[in-house]
Amino acid sequence: MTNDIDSIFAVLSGVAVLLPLLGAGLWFWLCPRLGEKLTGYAASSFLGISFLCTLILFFKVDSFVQLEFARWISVGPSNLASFSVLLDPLSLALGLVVTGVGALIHIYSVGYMHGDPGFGRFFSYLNLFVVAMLILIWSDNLLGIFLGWEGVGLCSYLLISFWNKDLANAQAGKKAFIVNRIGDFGFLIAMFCLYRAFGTLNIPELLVLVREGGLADWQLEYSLWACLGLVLGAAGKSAQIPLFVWLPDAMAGPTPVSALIHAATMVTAGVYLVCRLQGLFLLHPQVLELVAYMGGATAFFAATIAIFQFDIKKVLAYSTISQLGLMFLAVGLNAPVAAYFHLITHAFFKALLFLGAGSVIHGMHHEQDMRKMGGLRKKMPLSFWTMTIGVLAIAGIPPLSGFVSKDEILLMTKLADRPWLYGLGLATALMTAFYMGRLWFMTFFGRTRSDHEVHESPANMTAVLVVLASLSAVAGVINWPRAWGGSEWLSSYFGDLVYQGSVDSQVSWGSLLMKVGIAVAGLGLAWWKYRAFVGGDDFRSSSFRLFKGKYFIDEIYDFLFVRNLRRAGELCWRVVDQGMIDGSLHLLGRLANSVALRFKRLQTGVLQAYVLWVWIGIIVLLFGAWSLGS
Amino acid sequence: MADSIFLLGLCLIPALSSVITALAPVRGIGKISTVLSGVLFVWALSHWGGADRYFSFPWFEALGLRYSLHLDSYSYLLILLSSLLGLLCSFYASWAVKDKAKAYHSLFHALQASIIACLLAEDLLFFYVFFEAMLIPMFFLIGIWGGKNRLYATMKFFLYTFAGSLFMLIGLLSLYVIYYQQTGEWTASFPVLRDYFSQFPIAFSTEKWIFLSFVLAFAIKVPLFPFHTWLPDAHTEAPTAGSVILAGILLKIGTYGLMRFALPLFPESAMAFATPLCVLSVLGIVVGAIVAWRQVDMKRLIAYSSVSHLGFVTLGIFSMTEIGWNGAYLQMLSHGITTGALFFLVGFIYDQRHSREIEAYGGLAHKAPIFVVFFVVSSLSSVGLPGLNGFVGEFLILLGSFQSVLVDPFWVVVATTGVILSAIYTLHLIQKICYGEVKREAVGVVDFGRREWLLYSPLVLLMFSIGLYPSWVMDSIYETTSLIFSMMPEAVR
Repeated sequence: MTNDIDSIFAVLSGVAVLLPLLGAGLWFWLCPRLGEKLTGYAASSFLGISFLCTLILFFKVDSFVQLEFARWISVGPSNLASFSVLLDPLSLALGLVVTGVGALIHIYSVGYMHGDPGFGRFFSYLNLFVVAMLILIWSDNLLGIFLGWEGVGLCSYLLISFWNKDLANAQAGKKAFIVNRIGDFGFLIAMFCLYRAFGTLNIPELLVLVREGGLADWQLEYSLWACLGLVLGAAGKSAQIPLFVWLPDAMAGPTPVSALIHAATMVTAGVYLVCRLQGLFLLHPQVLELVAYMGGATAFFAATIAIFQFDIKKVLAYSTISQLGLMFLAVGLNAPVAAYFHLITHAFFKALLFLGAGSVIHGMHHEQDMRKMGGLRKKMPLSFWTMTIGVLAIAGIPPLSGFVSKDEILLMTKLADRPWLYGLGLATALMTAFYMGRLWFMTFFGRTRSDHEVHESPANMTAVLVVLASLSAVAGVINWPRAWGGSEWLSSYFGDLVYQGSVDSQVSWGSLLMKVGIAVAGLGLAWWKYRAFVGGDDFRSSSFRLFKGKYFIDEIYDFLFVRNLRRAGELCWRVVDQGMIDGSLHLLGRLANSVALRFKRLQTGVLQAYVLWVWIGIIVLLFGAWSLGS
Repeated sequence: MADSIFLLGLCLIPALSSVITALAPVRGIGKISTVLSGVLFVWALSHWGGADRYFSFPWFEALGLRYSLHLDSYSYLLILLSSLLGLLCSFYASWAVKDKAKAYHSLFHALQASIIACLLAEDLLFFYVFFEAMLIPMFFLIGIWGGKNRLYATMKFFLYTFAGSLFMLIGLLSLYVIYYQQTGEWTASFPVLRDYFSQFPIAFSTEKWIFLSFVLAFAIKVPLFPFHTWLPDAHTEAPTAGSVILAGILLKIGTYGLMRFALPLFPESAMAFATPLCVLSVLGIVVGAIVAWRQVDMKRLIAYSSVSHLGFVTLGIFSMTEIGWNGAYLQMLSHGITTGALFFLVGFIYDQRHSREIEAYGGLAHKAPIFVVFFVVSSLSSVGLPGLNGFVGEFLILLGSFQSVLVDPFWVVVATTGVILSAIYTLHLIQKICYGEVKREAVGVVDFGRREWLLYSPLVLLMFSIGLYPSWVMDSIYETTSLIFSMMPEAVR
């Protein structure tokens, strides 16, 4: 700590991380004594304080602060990783989203989790998640990031399998953890490669070495493997092809968890990671290209699945995968600001949509099937209106936030001159508007298709919806294009921290009109098909089987990997261990036994026989000595 | 003087404890035994942060055999862990073992005595003697207090490890004789032999056989794939405390022997055989993990996970990097703590329900939530979650061996898949026994009482403290590692 201001920063960031950590340890034990309300609001206020600390840091930190708290892993003099923070626009912007949205979702959860026997445990996990997420985004070294990275994975696992009496939920949690571990495997390999190539895991040091250039071929080769490993890690955490399969299942967790972890914050960690290490990735444009295509493909592909889902949370889950794909597309095309912008707006409107869906599910007594909903706009007016804003935002209706950020990504794709990717982006936009419209009409319009006594959610839940709806509506201003009279504040805030590939020059009214047209067309199509939805299957033809079966990816993975691994395990156990190794050991044992049985016969007890053997022995020895001597 | 009192105390306290428990009245034997283990632990702990200690006493001067002891961080930390686990084991046994309790406690202290003597020995012949001596009490502990199939398991354990050690004896005697032939003096003292042979190396054609004889003995003890099949049987049949001390300490004598004797004595051969030995380690990691996943018996699953984890340790050792060695040593300690805790936890359930079958349990999270918290934390430590102890060692091993010039990075990548596989089998176990509806065996399970808190919390505290601030053990490990490496030939450094 060099001076006073640094120590103030240290205290602020320390409090922001440690207070929720303290909370994580407390609520589990204290809930039975404090009661639900107090526990829930205390947990929320801890996050509120965390948010305030982050806010002060956001205003006071001038471009870049790096603080070390303690050594973590060091071998003798060489320190591999410390507990330390790197505060700069990238980490602070995301920190605000995490603590801010986190605090809101905590408040919402007080209502949502009311009466649950695991109330205290839930808030412990939720606090712990925020801690891990802050460690992930604030660490200045890759090992620290990895600590947070696995930490959020753990919380995700614990929260997905929160209602673990139902084995399906436990199964979903396990799947999420294991698939994420495949990504973490890539992350680990990346760290090994980077350490071999550069001898450090500290990010600023690493980026300086990269920027200085003059790297040898072998260093470039290792850094290429490192980039690929990081992409695998990012694909795992951010549910991209080929590792997206865990996210839809993750909806087994309580809905606030889906909103916070599996929509707004944790799943964006991959985007953050690539942005943070952009300097490294710029060494290997082909890897960025891969990221762009991976993102574009994921965006398109997930959207095609979302159209055919009936579970309201599953629609939103595939929509999240799709939107994350758009962010990866932007990152891959060297438009990190656009990716970040979309990350932030998406955090708002997707959290809103999940919480709105949660409110509906809560009101419908845990019914998640949209075919059994319908006509809820009268019964749940606040949920309806707030969700409407969310739907319009994600569908891309101006001037809501989703429109502005998505438009920026599409524009960047167009400017980068990738017609294929641009086409994928536009198609995704059309499908997004359609499936969101489908969700909206199916849930809120038409006849009521259930006998549940539907009620609007309590005020602490709806208040959060209102806040998030306003944020979703106006968040576009943070990077409102200059061409439309905005200031592009986010771009200037990041400054030259990240490299922007192609820069937006002027507004093209034609393309703008086209994108609005696409959004309207998608919603219109949904209106035409679902305005008077009466239940049942909306895509009856068997030609839709592929989409309804989610392309049978789970089945394919099961067939290719899970089963073969299981078979390999059985093989190694029964054939190798028990058959070959133990078999030969037993054979050895039997051999010794049978030899012993033969020699046993020599022990006859007849003295003359022993004397004979002694003589034979003497003769053999003498003969041996004689032959050696000669 | 202080040195000799301390070191002799380390050896004699458990030996005397063994005699005392054999003579003491049956009533209160558990308490007496626990107090005696406590004395040993405090005695060992009093050395914390101290400098190396030496003791040497002539035994058979004509043959150059001395009773010489050396305590450095490599031997000390394992002794400390051994005395801690010993204390917990005695405490646990004080209520869990009712049958022939006196004999049990007496044998347990005898085991402890031979372990400590083995870890302190600086004379190769003495090391060998105690290396073998450990087998005898363990043989009885499994054979008398073990499960249904205990006779097969204990014979397999005994014969297998014993046969391996005989090879080491041959290797050791050849070394002893070669030194005599070249210098005209008899000695089995490790530092003397190491210094001499580093100056005047044995011809590789001979050295490699001596090296392999040492490696074979240690590889069986560790156990390194494919010499591991005795372990699942021994673990499964052993009584809880037996499994704990077996996983916690006995296996580590194998890796300890590699780090202390085999590799420093024969660095050239170690480099020559680095690749095949690393490949065997990697196979151990992968095969151990996927086989663990298929097990139906909890203890067998954990036993196979030990095979996998110790594969990491031997990978770190055979790839011959300083980082890898530090990681390997830390992983030895971590594995002792974590797997020790897991065996205790399984024992907690087994002693209540007498079933180790994974499928028979389910829904323990609703019957015994505190148990589940401890179980999940220990399992996550075994998975290598950062923030807990298992990660630090595993990471350093992989990082180190990836930097090694002796082994292709490809094998390290294969080894790293261990992090995926360990998640698969561990979460499988957690899900089966903790989650879902409460199944038949789980119905009768009673959650932790005060004594369980006392028993399990030290281990969990260690998991967190090593995971979050490894330096408190790492710094002293590092000193010894760098000392050993400074004596290795240039090529290794």
